Amino acid sequence: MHNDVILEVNELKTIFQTHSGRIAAVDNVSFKLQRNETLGIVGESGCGKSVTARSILKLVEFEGGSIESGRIDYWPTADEKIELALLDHRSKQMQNIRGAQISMIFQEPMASFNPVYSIGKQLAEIVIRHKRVSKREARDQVIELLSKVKIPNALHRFDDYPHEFSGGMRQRAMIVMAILCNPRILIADEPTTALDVTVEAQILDLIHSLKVENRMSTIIITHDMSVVGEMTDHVMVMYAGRVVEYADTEALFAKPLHPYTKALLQSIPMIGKGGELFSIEGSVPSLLHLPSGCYFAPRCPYASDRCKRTNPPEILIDGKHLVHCWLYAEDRA
Amino acid sequence: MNEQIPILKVQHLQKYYPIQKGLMRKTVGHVKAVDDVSFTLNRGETLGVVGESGCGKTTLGRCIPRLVEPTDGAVQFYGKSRDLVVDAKRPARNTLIELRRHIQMIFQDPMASLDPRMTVFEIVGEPLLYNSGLNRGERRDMVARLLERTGIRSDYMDRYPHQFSGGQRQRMGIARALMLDPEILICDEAVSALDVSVQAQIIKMFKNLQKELSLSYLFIAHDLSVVEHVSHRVIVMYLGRIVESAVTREIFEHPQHPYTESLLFSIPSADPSLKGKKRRILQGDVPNPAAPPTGCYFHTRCPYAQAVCSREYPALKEISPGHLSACHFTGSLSLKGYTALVEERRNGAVYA
Repeated sequence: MHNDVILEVNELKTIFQTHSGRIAAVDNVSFKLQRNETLGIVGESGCGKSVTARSILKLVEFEGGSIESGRIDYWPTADEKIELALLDHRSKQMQNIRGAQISMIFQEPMASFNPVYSIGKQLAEIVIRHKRVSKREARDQVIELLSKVKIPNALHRFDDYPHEFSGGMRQRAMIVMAILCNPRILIADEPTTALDVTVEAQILDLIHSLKVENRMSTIIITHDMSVVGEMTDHVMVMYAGRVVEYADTEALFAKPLHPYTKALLQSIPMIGKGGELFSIEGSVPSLLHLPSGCYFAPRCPYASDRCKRTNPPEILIDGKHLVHCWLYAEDRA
Repeated sequence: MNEQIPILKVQHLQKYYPIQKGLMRKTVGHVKAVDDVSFTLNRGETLGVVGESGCGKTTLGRCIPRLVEPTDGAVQFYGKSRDLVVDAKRPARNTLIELRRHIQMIFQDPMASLDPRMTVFEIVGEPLLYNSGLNRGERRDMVARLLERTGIRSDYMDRYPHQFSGGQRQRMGIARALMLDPEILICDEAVSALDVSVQAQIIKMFKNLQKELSLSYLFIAHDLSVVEHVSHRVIVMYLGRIVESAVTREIFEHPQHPYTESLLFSIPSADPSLKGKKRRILQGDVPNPAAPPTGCYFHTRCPYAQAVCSREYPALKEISPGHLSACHFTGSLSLKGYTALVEERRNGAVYA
């Protein structure tokens, strides 16, 4: 039954050639995104979550990266499959998908708008490009959406420049940019990281209602476990480019399996729960100097010799909870 | 912590930035970044300062050791050896120099606050150059000791900042701040830029240092969960003024100011069972500080605002011992604390 899956990533490996050597920013990552589902990708900086998203949209190729192996299958409808990994990143077909069918909200909205054009002009351009409508129609559509995301006085704000918007308003305009063409998949890369907690709540609320209303499948990339708990159906935890755990959000919070996921959950301060914070010693390894075996082994309190030698396979627990850790192997020593 | 001995009293501190216009740079108004702020920090205590960006938290922190020159007010320091008073308008140079020994700052971005051309030894040992008569060998010993204490191997002393991770750089900033044996640390978003696993390490270190060295912290942060975790008392600021202050538990469970309640219901829950449940949302942005609203600054966003709120600014009143709030209707509103808000959401509506 493939018709419920809208996006399937299979053994994706994305590499970058740097001055100091070749790095695999995404290493053998596989996951499925169901229709109308929200998937969270979590991990600390440098774990490959943004590169995973940018690989799907083939943006990494503009940034010096390349997809070395693996498949990215996109199913616009139940019986039509497009293999994104095989498309050229500059091809017409990819351009038509990017922004219209699969679109993305970036972390830093100031960097995503051109400072010398008005917000309205930049948004209208997308409608004109993808929907082939007149300027006037495009303008009306943009204004309608701007008011829908609660930009006050959208009619007059249309001609404002990016610097005239507050941080929260720029993020809303960014969301408008992403949903203008009613995409089937919305990827939000750290959509609230730079924002105040009150504005974060507004933006998460907005993404949630738009997702429900427009029936979008959503991928939310974040380092913040509380955003994951709040927003997602499934979670994929990444570490140094690899997937370490994948599960139903409730199962993951109730019973995290991988030592890294456990540590992530225990190291966030929770209100009303005093006591000592748990902390993992050390920090995420550099992708240039990765340890052999399991990448988390040097920081893992349960690491055995086997962990330091061989990377653990994917192990399935309870039929749907995936974990990459030798602790759960049948034949564990 | 039981006997509360003040170590720092900030009185009526003000920082007004002039708004200048035209060829003659005529002053046409002021941005009141910090407006009549008074509070006391006790010995061995962590005092959290929270609020949205632009509420004056950072300016407040910087005005205390006079990294930013305050417009008016006074800072009184009650040290182990002696007391110091710095009047904002007539600061005595010697007093100020001594005050800065005892009050040190830790900044958000460790890369921006460490000179990339200096080695770790030079950075961390720099305070000793001017404040001790130690020779180079003795200084190296001191630096080595503090680096080990903050979790950096002392044989890394001759490396440069770019060779370290963000967490290690923040440790260096802390080592440098501790060099002159200060009594107060002002931590301005000191853990905000760090990954969660590293953030937890640094928070733990702050707590241990506080116990060992009986430090007092002014802990400025926008992350309410972190502030709740580290602070004994909390100050809530909005547009340059204190709107509420109380012991941490009171702020989080019995808030008395509508703005505090709004901050509380904005916190993401980390509870998957609340997924899809609607919550209350504080609408709008912080108003332009150059032209704040009339009356109570919060009335434009306050769900409980009435006519009087747009006319008069409410005074900061003590409503129970140690609990201050600046709201006309303090006591008559039934505001909810964090636990009650989570409960309210659990029983509330879902996204349709």
